[in-house]
Amino acid sequence: MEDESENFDELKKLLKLKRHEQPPPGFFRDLPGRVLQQIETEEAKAPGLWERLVGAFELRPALSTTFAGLMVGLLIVAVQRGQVADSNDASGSTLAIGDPVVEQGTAMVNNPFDQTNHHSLTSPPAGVFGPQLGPNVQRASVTNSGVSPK
Amino acid sequence: MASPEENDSAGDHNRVFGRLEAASDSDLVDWSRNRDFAAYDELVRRYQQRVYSTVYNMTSNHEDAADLVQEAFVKAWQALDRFKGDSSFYTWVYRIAVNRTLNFLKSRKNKRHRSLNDMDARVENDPDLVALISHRTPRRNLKLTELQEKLNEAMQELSEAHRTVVVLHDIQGVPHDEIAEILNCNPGTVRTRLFYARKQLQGLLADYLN
Repeated sequence: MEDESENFDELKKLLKLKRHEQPPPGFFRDLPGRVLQQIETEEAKAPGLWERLVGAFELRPALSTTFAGLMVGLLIVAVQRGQVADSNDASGSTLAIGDPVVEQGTAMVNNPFDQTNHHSLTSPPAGVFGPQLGPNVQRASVTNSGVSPK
Repeated sequence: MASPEENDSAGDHNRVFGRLEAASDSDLVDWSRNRDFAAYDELVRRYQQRVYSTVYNMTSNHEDAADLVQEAFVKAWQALDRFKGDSSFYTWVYRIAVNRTLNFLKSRKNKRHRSLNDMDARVENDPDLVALISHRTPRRNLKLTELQEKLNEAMQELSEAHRTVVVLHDIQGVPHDEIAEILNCNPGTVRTRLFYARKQLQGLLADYLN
């Protein structure tokens, strides 16, 4: 595969023609200045942290897809935890209502027709971080001297 | 009145500025890394013709070549901190320019458009070319511009990989080893590509060769 095995001399002479092609006059005089101008322009509009972050996502679709998936996953988990908390909250209220002692006590303190806020005395509101608080509330009874643990 | 420190600084700058043309590439690269625009200006001046000629012969279009060369030098400036000096600066710049041009040519597929540059006055006196269009040439009345057109058409028929090695070796005179370094392949691959590229060109230009 050596070059010498073929005679390319004429072709090489013809290719020399390309060495005589010249850009428009003044091109090489102006090019260094244009290069430095573009460097300064690009440095002046150097991207901030946010632009670089967005740029990284644009350059790496896998990264942006992963990030989006993570966000969606977190959202789903948060919604599910919220639903669990709501259901625990509801079951906690039912237990409190079904407990005669609590019912009796709350009846003395709260409006007996108002069943929406009776657990405010007996149990803290269930939340994302403590959904089990409702059913584990300590029973209490109300006497003349006040509310005391049973 | 300028302080002694300022005078020293200005004097140093002038001495450096006055020596730019004599400075080595490695010194100019070091100064450029310290944001010395004059040093980088000198590097651009040194290699702009060779880089431009390579890119122009790969694209056969002056406007595209002008944009690509400018981008290549800007990218080189931005990447100077990553230049380790394992190769020469011009090999490194060549690599940036050639890779950008190859990417550009891939995106320009099927949108070939040529804008050929004028030839300089010396072409009329080039003995090889004079001989080529002499009475020995099958087409006696062949004009140089027509020959230029045919040559460029043939060059565009080559694959980008083959055209690149012909441009670098047969037009620019870059040795095989340096081409291998620029293209990140081994010298044997360069020789093979060059052989097949020449064979193809010889076939395409058979009417214009003795």
